[in-house]
Amino acid sequence: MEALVVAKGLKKYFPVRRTISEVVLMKSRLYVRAVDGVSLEIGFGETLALVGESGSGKTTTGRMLIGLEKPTEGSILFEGIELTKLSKKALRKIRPRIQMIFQDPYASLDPRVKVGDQVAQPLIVHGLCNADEARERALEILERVGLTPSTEIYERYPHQLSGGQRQRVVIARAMITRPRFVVADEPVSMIDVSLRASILELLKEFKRERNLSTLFITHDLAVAKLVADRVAVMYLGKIVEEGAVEEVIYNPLHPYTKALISSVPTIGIRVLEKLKIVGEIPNPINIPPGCRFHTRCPFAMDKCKSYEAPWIYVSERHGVSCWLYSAE
Amino acid sequence: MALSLSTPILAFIRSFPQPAKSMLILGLAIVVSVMLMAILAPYIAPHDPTSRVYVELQPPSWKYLMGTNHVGMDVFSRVIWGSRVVLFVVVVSATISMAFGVPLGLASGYYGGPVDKALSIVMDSIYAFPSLILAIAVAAVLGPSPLNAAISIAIVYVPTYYRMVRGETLKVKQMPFIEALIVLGCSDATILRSVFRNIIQTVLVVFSLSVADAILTEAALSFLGLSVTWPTPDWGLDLRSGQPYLLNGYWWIAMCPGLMIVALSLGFALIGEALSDYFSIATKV
Amino acid sequence: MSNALLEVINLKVYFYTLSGVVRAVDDVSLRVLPGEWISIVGESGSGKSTLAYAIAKIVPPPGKIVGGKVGFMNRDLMEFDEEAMRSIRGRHIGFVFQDPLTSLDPLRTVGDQLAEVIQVHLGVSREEAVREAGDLLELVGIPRDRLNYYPHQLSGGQRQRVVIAISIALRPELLIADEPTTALDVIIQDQIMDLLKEVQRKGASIMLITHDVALAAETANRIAVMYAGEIVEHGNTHSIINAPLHPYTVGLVDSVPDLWSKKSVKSIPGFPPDLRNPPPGCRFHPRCRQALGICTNESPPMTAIEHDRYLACWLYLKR
Repeated sequence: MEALVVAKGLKKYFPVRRTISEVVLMKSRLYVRAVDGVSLEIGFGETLALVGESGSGKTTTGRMLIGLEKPTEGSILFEGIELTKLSKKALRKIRPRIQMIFQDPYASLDPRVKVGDQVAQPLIVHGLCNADEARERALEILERVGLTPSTEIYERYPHQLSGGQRQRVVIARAMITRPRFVVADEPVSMIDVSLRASILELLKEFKRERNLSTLFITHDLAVAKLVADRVAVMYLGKIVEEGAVEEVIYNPLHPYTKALISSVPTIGIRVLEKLKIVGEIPNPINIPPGCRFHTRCPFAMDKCKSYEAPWIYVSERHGVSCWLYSAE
Repeated sequence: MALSLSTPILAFIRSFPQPAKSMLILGLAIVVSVMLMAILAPYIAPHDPTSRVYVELQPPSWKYLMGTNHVGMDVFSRVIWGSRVVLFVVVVSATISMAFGVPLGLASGYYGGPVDKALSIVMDSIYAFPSLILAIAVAAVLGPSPLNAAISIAIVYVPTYYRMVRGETLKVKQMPFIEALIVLGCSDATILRSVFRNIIQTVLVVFSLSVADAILTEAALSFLGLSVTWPTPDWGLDLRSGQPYLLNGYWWIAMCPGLMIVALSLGFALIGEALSDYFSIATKV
Repeated sequence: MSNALLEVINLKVYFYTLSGVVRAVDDVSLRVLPGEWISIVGESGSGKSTLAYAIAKIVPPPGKIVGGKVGFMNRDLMEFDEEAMRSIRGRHIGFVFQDPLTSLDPLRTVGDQLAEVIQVHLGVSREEAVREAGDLLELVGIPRDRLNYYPHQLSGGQRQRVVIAISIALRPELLIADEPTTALDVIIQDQIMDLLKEVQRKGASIMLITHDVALAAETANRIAVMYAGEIVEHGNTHSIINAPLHPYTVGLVDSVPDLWSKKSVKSIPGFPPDLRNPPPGCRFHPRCRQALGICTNESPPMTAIEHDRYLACWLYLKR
């Protein structure tokens, strides 16, 4: 199956500002290696969850796929078009088909514009229809995301809505141009716990109805399990494990994945034994040599300290980057 | 019409928390009465401000509320007519400063890059210059006239608007709702409009506070004879003409226009402070 | 004379804002036994943090404790003045806040801050205090040589460990942790929870304030569920999680995605109420599928339905 989105070897290095004394002493510039060689594919109608801790580079990866950040290296193919080489104008033409849902529903709406007008705006910006029609379609989609009566909600300003309602507005705005691909960056982490499920359900409905492809960025494996088909686990700028969501959760291979799964609190009964690891994620300016997880890994061997582990497929679609699974 | 407009304005004032509300009301009272004074000058001034109406150096009396000056003109009428010059200079200069400072700050903050760096350096160097000396220098080159005074004051305050607008733009630009517009494929013009909508309260605050300051600068310029020429009534100019007589006990000639300068400046400053409290904007003008 | 360490009775904390009186904590009663871990679970705006602040009498203005009693070690804290409270805080009630940066002085080393607490309260020599500070750091899992570090040189997880070290320095009987891991990643959260369990093992009672039902369930002996300023259900962890009775608790447990349970997930309809103008009767009734006639006008009293199980819901009360 040909994938809708194919990213290969994505890298994003942010230069670190030097102090004046460092410039004078001609110290070389340091880089934050936020994303350090990420490849992924998202099929038609598929949801890929990108899971990791803060500082893992998952948000930067999403921002590159959406064109908010230019990759330092690598390629992104969307419907066979190379996004990284597009001009600003050509990229703007593709925008209706690639959308984003942001984390903070309080900050992702313009506080001074009626929410209805914000939902209708993409249609008008891209000249897809006239103002009256845009209003009609905005009302329709507000209704669809459960904001009723839509004629009343249309006239409200963001501060007159609750967090959950605003996130529905954000989803409506992203969906109104019928995109093929959506990047959702922690869309429920700022929503009240008792309302999260309905937002996730809404995203799943759009996925089913429209064969929507989604990159779902989250730190919460339980949420990933609920919405995703596949999951990719990121650590310090790299994907360390990827596979079908049930398989990764019930049969994790990489020690980091195991530790991550162990640490998620649960009200159910754990299937796997807990794996505790020590320390915290290192600074992405000084990424450890070899396997970048070896400093915290309880199974680290000598070769982990100097050689990066190859990508190994243990089954057709379950891959891991770890020496423990290498025949070498 | 006046009634339909006054309702939202009153509601806006009522929504201020204390003590900002008292500050705003006092500030507005001062500024509005000076404006009325300027508009209605021909009707409320009891005498011709530029001709000798009585014996010189007479102390305040019922007929001459603020006394007469050294050539026998009515100080009260001169104070009323003088408000016109101050307001003209201040409004014209603020308009010019905003016309340059706001768009430059917006563009600089939004686009960044080398143009932003160059502009920032130019603006910072103007800003670093003592404002009064700069205004005097420009006014001296242009020659004495109210319009030239307005231009020289305008130059002094362009960096103030520029810096505040640029700073706010940098802040707003990073807000997710602006990024959302980029993702939606909006043009730069649309995005800039949205940024502007969200920094307009800052412009309002900077306007009030810098006008408060500009009133003092204007007074200084006319005190030095770089604005209107005698005998046109003007607060700064009258301050100067009364100054030699101050030591001999004829306090009213300088004191009356001087107090008006202080009051008007205070009025704008109070409005500015109240607005910045309301919008919670840090005022590092 | 009761055997409880902390006994909160009919506590009321109101915030007097410009737009009205917010009844953040309304008639809350709660009991904490020595050495037990109690988790207060609730969504944002449920009043759970305010309850914690009120226990230590540090409610920020415009908030005010307007009624009720806080009994601690058999003394009524409501009768204590500010100076007397200061000898209680830190010494007997320790606090860990959500953001460790707000509780650390950025300009002083962590060793300095730790040693000062020990020196001032225990009246020991400087050398002894520094030695003790080093011991404490090691206890919370930070190498002794970090005594000379400034807060900004530590990671978020390490800072929270330092805050915990400071708050347990005087061996308080009660440690209140207000969302201590919300700003941290799950692996670090797990480590911090282990550390708190260690603190409990040493004899302290822990009160964990959290919005995370699963986190509360994994650690607590007992759970109290708060909704709109009131405790709606209160009992041992097992029964609250596995056999919740109050419709809100049922909805809350059902709404959380869980890695290891097969149950489906569904949201509670509607939104939490505005506490300036809470609904009459049971505050949950507008969102409750099983609401009865009485729920709309009469507030259900907190009732013991079995040993150590309290509930405020008309569905289970005989009228």
